[in-house]
Amino acid sequence: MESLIFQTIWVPGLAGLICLILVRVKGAEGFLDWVRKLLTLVVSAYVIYLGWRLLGAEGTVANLGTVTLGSLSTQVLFKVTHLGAIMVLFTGIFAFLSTIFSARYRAGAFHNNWYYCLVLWTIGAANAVFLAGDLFSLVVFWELSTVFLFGLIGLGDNEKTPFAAGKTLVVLGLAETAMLFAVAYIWATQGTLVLDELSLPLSVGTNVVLYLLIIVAALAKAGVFPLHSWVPSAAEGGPTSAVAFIPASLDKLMGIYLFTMVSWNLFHLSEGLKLAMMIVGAVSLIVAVVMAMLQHDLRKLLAYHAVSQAGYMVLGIGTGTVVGILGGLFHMLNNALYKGGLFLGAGAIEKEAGTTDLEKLGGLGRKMKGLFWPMLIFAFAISGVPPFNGFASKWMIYQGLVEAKRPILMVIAMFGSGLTLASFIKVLHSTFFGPTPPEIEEKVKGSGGFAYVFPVWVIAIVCVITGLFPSLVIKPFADALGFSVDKVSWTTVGFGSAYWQPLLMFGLMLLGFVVAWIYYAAGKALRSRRDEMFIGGIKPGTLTGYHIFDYESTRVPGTGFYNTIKELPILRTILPDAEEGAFDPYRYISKLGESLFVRPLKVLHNGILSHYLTWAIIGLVCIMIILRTHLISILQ
Amino acid sequence: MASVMLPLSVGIPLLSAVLILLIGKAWRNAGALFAPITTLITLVFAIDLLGADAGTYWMGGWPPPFGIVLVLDSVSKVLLLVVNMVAFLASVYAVSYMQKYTAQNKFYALFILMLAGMNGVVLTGDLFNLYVFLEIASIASYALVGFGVEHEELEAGFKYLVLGTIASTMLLVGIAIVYNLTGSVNMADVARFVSGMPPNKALLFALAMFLFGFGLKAGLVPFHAWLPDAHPSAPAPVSAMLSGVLIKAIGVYPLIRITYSVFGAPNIILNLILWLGVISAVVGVFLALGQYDIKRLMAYHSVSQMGYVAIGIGLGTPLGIAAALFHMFNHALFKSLLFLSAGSLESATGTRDLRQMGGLKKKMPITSLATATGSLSIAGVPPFNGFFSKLLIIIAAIMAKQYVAAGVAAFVSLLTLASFTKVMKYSLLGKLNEKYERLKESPVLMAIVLTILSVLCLGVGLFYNYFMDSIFNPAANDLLNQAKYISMVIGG
Repeated sequence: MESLIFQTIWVPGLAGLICLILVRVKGAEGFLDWVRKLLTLVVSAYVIYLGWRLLGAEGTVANLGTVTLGSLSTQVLFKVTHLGAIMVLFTGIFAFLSTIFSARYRAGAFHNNWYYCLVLWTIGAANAVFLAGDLFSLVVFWELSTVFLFGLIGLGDNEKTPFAAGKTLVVLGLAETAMLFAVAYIWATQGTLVLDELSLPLSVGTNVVLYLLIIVAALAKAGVFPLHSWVPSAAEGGPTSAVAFIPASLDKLMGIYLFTMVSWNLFHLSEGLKLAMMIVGAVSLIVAVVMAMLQHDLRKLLAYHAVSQAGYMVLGIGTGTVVGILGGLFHMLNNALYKGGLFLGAGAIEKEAGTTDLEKLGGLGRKMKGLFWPMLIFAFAISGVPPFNGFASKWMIYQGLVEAKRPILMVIAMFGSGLTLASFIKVLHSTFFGPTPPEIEEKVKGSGGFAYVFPVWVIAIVCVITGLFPSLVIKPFADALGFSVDKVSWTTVGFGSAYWQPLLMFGLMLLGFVVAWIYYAAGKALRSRRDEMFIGGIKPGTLTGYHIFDYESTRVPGTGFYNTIKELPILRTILPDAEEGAFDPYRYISKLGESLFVRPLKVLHNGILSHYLTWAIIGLVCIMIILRTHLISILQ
Repeated sequence: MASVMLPLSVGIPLLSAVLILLIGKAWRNAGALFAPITTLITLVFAIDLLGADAGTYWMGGWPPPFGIVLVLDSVSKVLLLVVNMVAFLASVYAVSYMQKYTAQNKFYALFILMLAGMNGVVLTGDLFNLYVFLEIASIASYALVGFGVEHEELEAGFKYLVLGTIASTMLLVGIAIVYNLTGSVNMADVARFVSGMPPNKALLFALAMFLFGFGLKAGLVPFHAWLPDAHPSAPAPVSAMLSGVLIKAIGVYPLIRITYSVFGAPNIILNLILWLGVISAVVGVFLALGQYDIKRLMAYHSVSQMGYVAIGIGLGTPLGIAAALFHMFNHALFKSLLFLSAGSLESATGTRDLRQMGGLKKKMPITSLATATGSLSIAGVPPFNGFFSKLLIIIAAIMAKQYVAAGVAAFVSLLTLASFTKVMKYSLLGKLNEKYERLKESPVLMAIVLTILSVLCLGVGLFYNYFMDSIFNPAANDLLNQAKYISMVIGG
């Protein structure tokens, strides 16, 4: 069993190295690319197997030895927890699906050896984080995964790529520096970093600070406001296949895993901190969903939803109730599924239609049928429409908030869910419905084949299944955390006095639909007449030199749907340039730092020798004054 | 008596510098041949001396404190290794890089002379001798900074010359005061006198002079202003030497040696060094953030990174000193790597402005990888070497209860990451500028040097424990043991 633990790390690591060595060779590039893809697929499948095996090996410890840093030392060990094993399993699944997708998406792209290498290394680093039994290996592999992400985003090929990669590394680096400092402090004061040996009661003031420093890293990785701003940038600049795998799925798993573990295993959240976390989650989900409603770019829009969804998870886990925590974890998984799926769909649209600008898309529902249905399911799932999985997890989060006696936050969460639906109406309208713009009409031939359609269908089916049978997911998570959920069964999800029967509800909904359809079909609705557009008997085009009306003037793009938000009293002042990144602390802090520190210092460095000499002499004088006062104090 | 390799480490480069100039009159490539060979010999010496016992070499057979003595202990071993390793790699790189310059032989002669001076500083056990070698290295470096003889280079060289000479003069004043007080310039002998002396104004004045002089040579804020002009102006191999090793060999190392071995590490001086370090770390990195000139940006980072080293030294704990020495070693590796890869980028694109580069990863894979390795190392990203030394410094500061210094160290490491993210994103990522369509990877020799340094950065990181145990921890313990130093040099 111990060797299985190490295999989750070194097998992807070694495979990545092999992919890296298979550099681009003229003539053999196509063949080499297949080798890389195949290797990545096989390794992902193997990771799924490993995750499955580890599920039954809870408590197994693999010791890698001791790390010594000066006079400090700590064991480096990996320990299988139920939760960790679940995460490893899903890392493999998401990697597998996104690799199938990238087989087409990345075909012929430059630096594919790096692409597959970094994907594999990310898998290894993520597995190491999920199985880490000490903070040292956790921090090291955590940072590694960030560097790999930087590399992956850097492989994108548009003008936003450098900025996106840089921002990702800086924002995540900021959070990791905070975590590193906390870990260094824990090490220096406690003398060990083994998770099971640490005791950090939050009644001690410094421990609260340490908790917050570590939590910053978790929340930044999960993309929670205000450390979210790298997610939308990454989505715009990075290769979409990597975005679907990492920021949309894997980073959520990592961030929320660390958040849960640190909040409930390492420290035990106090009431005040619980409330603080819930507020962070609530703010995150509302702010991000409002931003999402205003976006023009499909990938950026989805990225803001990723931020918003992370808010739900933090909100649920922050409640500290059994149903809330389980709901948060369930939501994490659900989001990883449908958000990964949505990004894969967006990637397919990007490649096939050549753009993800909502303004330029439309009518793809007819052209990309293989993609439309799964995307519809994802849109419903993320909006919390029953019977899909998003509803089940949101319902549990609401229950958690009720149990924690935070009705206001529950209302906010429900409101956010409504806005999500509104936002996805815009997405569906702009991409799949309405008339097709001429350039898209010519370009798009279909859904793009197996590589694009298969992964999204698999995810869509899983979304439906986990929606209809939530116990499939809730039970393992409950086992992992040691919660007893005796009221959860195949047909019923029950917590406290609340019940929810997905199958029954689905049956009733289906019945409703059938009745409605019969009513609809019985009327004349199905026998409608279709004709071309005309006004007053005149068809589009020019008439005796006069421009009558054309495609552009009759089309209703969805991008303008929610522009009224910008006119709302308070938001009017905050959102003058929402798309430029209002709510983005990265932007403000860098501007502030620039004007407060960098520019004044630059002015001082004016290149004049006598000035330089003056400072040096001032420095010398200061040193002398200090030494003299010191001498006087000694002599007294 | 230690091995004869000690005087030869100084003597061979001195001789070689003269030879290059003489033969160079007749044969244009004399320097390109002799310089790498000379540095290779001294590097072999340095590696061989790593395993040697600590000991002294009496020049001309005169025993200390009367004669000049060369001292090899675990601290000078570290420095000797760093200096000669970087010098060897830089000289190999220079063979390709310097071909576009005229008067190559003068370059190599100065380069080797600077090496001789640094080796002398590192090995000497005598204050006046230290001053002499320090001047040899400094004067050679003034000339090398202005080597390009363009307007900017001469101006930078002149500023460096003026500030550097003032620092040297102050050092001489300090040495004179010490000589006057103790009647000796042998470090161990001085240490013996000083340890029994009550605190007095003259001694503290001398210490202030040393702090100023070596602080300036090391580029600590507020004595740093020459550095960002001088280091970028020199040709890339020299920039690598200046930022990579010179500021350590003639700045930080003598500062450590005099503070710990000679003056027995008085608390007030340690505190001053600590806070100079904190200020340097912060100011340096902020200045770097505003830069778009790739070499100037790196030069500011040298100021900042020397701040880290000063923080470690100022802590005065074994862990702090070991961390500082380790960081110094790492900085030599990654900063020379960075300057050399910046040199490759510059000679390929013809510009040092980051905004005009872009997308170079497609055209120059090796240089790009080297730049990324160096950037991640200096930013303190695992598993590269910079991560471990920075973490050690932070931990050492926390254990010494210097929480502000620890916080600053962590904060600066973030800003360093931000700054080098900028380097990577502007130079390597993004769309390739059309005018660079025909760009080629650097010549083989340059690429090899970059690869070696990158591998070293990674290797030292992965096996940091071995290096700490075998090199840096013993050095830190030796530094803290003043009595051992005295007894080793003058036997009692």
